[in-house]
Amino acid sequence: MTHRIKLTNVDLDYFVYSLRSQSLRSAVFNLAVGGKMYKAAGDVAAVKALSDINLEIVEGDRIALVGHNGSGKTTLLKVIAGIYSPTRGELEIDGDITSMIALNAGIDMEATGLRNIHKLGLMRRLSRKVIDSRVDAIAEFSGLGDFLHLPVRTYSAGMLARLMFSVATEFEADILVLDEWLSAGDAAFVQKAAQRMHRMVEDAKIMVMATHDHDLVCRVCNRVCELQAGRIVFLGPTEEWLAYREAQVA
Amino acid sequence: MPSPLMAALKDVGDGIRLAPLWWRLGLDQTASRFQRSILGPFWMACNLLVVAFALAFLVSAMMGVNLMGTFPQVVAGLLAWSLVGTTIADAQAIFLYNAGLMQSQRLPLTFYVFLHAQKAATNFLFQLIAFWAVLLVIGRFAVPHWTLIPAVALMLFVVCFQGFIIAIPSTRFRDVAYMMSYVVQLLFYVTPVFWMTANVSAKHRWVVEMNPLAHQVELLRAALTGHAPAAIDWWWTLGTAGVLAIIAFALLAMFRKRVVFWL
Repeated sequence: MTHRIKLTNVDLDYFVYSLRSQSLRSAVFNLAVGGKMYKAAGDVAAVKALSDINLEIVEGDRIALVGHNGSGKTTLLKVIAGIYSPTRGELEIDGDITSMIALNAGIDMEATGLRNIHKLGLMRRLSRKVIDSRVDAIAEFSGLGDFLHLPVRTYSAGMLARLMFSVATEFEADILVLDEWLSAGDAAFVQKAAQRMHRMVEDAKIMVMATHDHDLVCRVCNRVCELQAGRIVFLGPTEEWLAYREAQVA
Repeated sequence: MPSPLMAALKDVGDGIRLAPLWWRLGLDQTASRFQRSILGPFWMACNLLVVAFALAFLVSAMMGVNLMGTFPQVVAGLLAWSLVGTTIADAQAIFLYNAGLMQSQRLPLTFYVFLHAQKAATNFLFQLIAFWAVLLVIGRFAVPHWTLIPAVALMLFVVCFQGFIIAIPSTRFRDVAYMMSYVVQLLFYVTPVFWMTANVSAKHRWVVEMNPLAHQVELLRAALTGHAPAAIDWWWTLGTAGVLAIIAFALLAMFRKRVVFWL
């Protein structure tokens, strides 16, 4: 099976519910006054987070999503990961997705690192036997040593990132979706992580990563997709993107 | 068939296929709730034990009344309520509790509802053990009627359907979430848990007869105390399940894509 992600004319409207609109009182009040008054005050704001996104990602692609804060990187990741359904447009995905969008998602802060490895494996629908057979490899790669026997709430952000990344990349994934977080790891770990990502790509998998780290983009990614205000402003190979950046600055 | 209905059906199918996952995650969440406690999940049984103790010793000693006659009925009613009523109060948190997971992994909405039902079933099982222990201690143990199994199974369906119906508006309107525990308290008093239907005057009997929760409690209570449940309780519960299923499915079809934005 070939793995592929294809977005065709995808729009995503993000509905922001104000404090007021989350209470029943305003809904009832809206009924009473015919729904004009509070709506005029903007109780449900629709933010166009993505508009007209056309993107095809094929096997072997390691694509970086770059752009300013609020340009839609994480939203696009969430659409690709199937968390948000597009408001309009088509989304086709062939392959199993592993997403690491929130650093502490699926982590039980009270449980030990080892127990969390099991839990994250569980969420990946792996059998106990498979997880058990890989725990040592995960422990070694994470470099956390005896800290794995401590509750995760005692970890620093970087340690948590190490744990999450080690688990996410130890088990085979068709499509790996990562949000900006690797920066939490120290230089040595980022180096190790980059090597591992190369290996994953050699296994002909897809990786989509949102990042602000241009060095990381150059080291790891073969394609770049730059977003601005929810639209794609650049899509192409990394070398061309570097030229595009220079032209922008000049 | 219009596509929202197809998508809702697919959601249900995906949820069922993920059974091994919500089964294990449910056990895991139950276990982690009682982390660092010595009794662990047996704390769930304590609610039942405390009320049973209060009724059997404190009330009967202080009031000088012998409650032993209805004691097994009341404790069985409380046990039934954990599945009938408490699940209504808990349902508001179905999506809110799992907000982190919902925003980071693609799982069907039904997955979270099945997870909720799994936890309710686990809770019921622990309380059932406590129930039998109490009855053994006071020498009133009754072998449950075989219909307990289909009755609990039917109730778990009701728990899933009403879970949707409560969780979806609770996520959108947070007031509903807070309101639910008070609604359940009210329902508790109009449902024959502590009192028996037989003691209600004929004039007010309709309050019980028209209360679907009363039929659900009676269904479980009869089976728990070793009797065959009355046919009318079966019919009421089946009917309730049918109506709730339709509403739940309609809500799923209408709001499936939206729920994640409400978190």
